Amino acid sequence: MPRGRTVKGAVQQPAGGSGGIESLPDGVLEHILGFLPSAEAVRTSMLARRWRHRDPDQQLSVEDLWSLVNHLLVNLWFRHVVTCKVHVLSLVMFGHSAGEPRLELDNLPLISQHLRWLELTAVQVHKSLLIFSNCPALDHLKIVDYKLSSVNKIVSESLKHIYLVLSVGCWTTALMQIIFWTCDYESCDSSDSTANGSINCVLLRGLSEANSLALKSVYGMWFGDKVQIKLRVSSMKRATAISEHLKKVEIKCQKVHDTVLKVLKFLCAFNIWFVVEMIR
Amino acid sequence: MASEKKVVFLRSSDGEAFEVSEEVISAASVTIKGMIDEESPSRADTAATTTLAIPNVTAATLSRVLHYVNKHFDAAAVVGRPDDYIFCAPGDEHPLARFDDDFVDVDNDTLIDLVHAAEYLHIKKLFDLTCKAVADKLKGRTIDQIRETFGIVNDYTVEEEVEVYRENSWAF
Repeated sequence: MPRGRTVKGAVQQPAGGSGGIESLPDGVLEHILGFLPSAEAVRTSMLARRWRHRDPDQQLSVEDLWSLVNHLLVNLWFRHVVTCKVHVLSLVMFGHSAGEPRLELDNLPLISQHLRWLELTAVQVHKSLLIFSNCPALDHLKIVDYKLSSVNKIVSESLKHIYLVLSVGCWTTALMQIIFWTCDYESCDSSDSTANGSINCVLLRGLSEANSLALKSVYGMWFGDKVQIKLRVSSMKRATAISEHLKKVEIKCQKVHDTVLKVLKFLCAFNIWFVVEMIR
Repeated sequence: MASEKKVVFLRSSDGEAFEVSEEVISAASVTIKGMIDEESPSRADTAATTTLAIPNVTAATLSRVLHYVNKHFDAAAVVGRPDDYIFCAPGDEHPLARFDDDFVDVDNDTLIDLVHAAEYLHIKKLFDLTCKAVADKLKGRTIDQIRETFGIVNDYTVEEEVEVYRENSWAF
């Protein structure tokens, strides 16, 4: 035992004693629980109020956990799979309901000589990912339940099939922008090709080779303008800014938005059929 | 050895003073090292021995803490790695592992006192050792057993209990 000696007539009884395990500060309790397997640490929440949320896992906020899962499961996996030279890549997050944050892919461009078919469902992506310049083989893109808030263009020279189902709020802004890029109707009056000069037509250049394009909005009822547009294509000649193959546009909606009408009027000028079907 | 080295006295909350090598305790306790550094200018003038008040730690606990500190320092000196023990995690293979096991083989209140003291004195390795020992007492026990062992009173209402269970149901 250590060299201790009493300087003055001290009372040997510990002053007050320990006060038990609950006298320990929160930080210390958390440190202790950190030595337990996480399930056991979580179970201690049942002990008493003091122990609620004392487990080390819950020190991580939901946001922290979210970004961890995002990073590990989505981004690392996604990039890894791409480097494995896959031809078909489908990332579908199940069990996602409206209002929850979406898993989010890094804002980095994809680079793959092999990728031909890409599907992203219930995953949030940013603009760089949709620059497919380094995916020369990509010809099929399907994006479902997708937030376009931070995106204003899709760039690809090779896409032939594009299927977009968009989420709430995107319809009136981003989706219309896509249609405008597709049509670029302001500048299409001239017979000159705008595809070469206008950055807005990058998608169009890809689309001019497209033989199918579907644009759909989901949760549209929130805005009362649930709209579904299908563009069908033919081999008829058009203004070069529009897909040469575009023949027919189908619209299903609850209420036709003004901007949609503008686009349709424009398309009409090129003898493109359109069918509008009002739905409930 | 000790006689040639500077010593300090630590006075416990209940007035008992313990002598310890300044070098040993400075290496072990961040808190006391800080106190010593603060005292240094005035100490240079006098030959008086420094006595530091440790108001949060009782004699019984301080005595144990110093036992630990001296043992670890001495043992570390023997193997020629004076500072290594500070970084040696509890449970690692180490000449002192057996000592550590015995050291924390004490009743709950004593152990909790040691956690408090290690935290206050900022002795990282002792803190980890004692916290892990507390965790070991929780490990593998039911909620009721833990409550009984540590005298924890369940102050949840039935509704709250159901809610907490539901929140954490994955862990059961």
